[in-house]
Amino acid sequence: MKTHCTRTWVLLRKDAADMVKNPNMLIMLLLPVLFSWIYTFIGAETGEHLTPAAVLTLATLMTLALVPLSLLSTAIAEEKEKNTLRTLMLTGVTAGEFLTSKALATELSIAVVSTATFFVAGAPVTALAPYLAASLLGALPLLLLGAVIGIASRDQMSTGIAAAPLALLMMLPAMFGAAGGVIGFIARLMPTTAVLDLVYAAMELQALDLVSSMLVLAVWSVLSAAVFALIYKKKRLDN
Amino acid sequence: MEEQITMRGVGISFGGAQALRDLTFSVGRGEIFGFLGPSGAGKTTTIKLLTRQLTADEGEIGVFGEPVEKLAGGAFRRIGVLSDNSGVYERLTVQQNLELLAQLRGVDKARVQELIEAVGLADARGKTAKKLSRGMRQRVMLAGAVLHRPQLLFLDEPTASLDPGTTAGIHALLRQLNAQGTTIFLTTHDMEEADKLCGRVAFLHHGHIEECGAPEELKLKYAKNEIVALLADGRRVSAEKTAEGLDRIRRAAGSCAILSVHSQEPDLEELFLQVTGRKLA
Repeated sequence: MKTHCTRTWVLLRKDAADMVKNPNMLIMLLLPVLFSWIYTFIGAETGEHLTPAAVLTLATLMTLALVPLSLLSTAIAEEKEKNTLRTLMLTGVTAGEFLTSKALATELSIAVVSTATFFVAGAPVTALAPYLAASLLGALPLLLLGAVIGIASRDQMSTGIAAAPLALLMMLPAMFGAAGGVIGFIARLMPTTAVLDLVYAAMELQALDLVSSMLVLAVWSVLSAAVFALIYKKKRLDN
Repeated sequence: MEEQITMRGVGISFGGAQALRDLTFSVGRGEIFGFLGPSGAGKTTTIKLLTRQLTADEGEIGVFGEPVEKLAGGAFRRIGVLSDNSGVYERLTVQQNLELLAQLRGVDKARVQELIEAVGLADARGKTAKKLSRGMRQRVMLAGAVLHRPQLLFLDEPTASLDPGTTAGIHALLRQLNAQGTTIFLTTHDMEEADKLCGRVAFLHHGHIEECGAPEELKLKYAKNEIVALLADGRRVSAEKTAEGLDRIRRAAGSCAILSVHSQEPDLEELFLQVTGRKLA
């Protein structure tokens, strides 16, 4: 157990440092922060600025769509593409240690990005802890899906084929759900909409229905875990 | 001798093409075993089977006396592998790459410094792997494979694309590891390397071992029963390795001085050609 923890810790430090050293990953992490800063200028001419909650909503959607799906899948695929995964496996690193460190590094980066966007949006400090909890919890099913894409992809380039449409699917219904109708119905089923409800609750605004939001997140987590197990069993890590 | 590697009747196919067939050999503790063959002969596939990166269609494979299927994390800590699909982290420096592997293997950082010197990368220790030449990367990967002084070391073409000076350094390192008890399984195209390092060699041709033994034994086995004399006028005269043969050379030389007489022993390259009917390169 101690060996597992030590190796996961060593890998986590490497993965976390790599997110800063890798220009592609760094850009993905900076985009939500940059956009939340830009959103704060919306309505500046009329004096009707977006509220911190509105800015955070848009930034959270972007963070959840980009980081767990694109960043995690790219990180896994890069290790396969550049044969470093094979090197790790031959030192006795297990698939569990490898994936745990990648998932933890991604959660860590979500925490950092979310904290930055939180302050850029000008949200009250008292809401930081519940906001982070909502973001990190909501990222779990997306992390599993990001890992599935990484495992199924041969290289970094091919991760985009699955990650980009999935990211749009996670973002758009949640953004336009308020329009109602079919979009509104689909939005209620998406994990990102559920996270936004949690974010609203964290900001002490009226959330639609927290119980159903938690239920949606739970169902997505179970389904994502099942897909992950299926794909992992079929492809293994180093396919 | 305690066997570190055993293969009995091993075969594997890819898409209907037989890559290895009826592969049978064993490697004892403390040996340096050379696996020689041209590209596509199945050398890398054999290493992949021995390190559980592939599963054989038939036959039995054993490592450390256990079936290879039981090779788990603990056993990998006693094994070092340098293969054509090993990789280095491009955004990390030479030193950071090796320190990462040292931490994963629980090896002291002082060993990293020792190996950086041993593989001739002292001047490049601060360079990111992205900026290294292919040969330098190969040296980083080799250092990574031997960091933990493995009990069993698999090397796939370890000195390919290295200059003669660095190759000599690597050979010294391998001999040192072997003297400390490391069993080495080495694939190579370089017959001189195999001759210098290996206690036994196997010739792999079309996925099958055609010949296996100590280089000296094989040379004697396939030696031509012939002697060659170099005469002062530049002529070379060959004859059977018998008293009559020697007389024939004397007669052919006549009044011309005989500068040297030597027997005709093939080198490993010639042996491979003789046994398999094809050249290595």
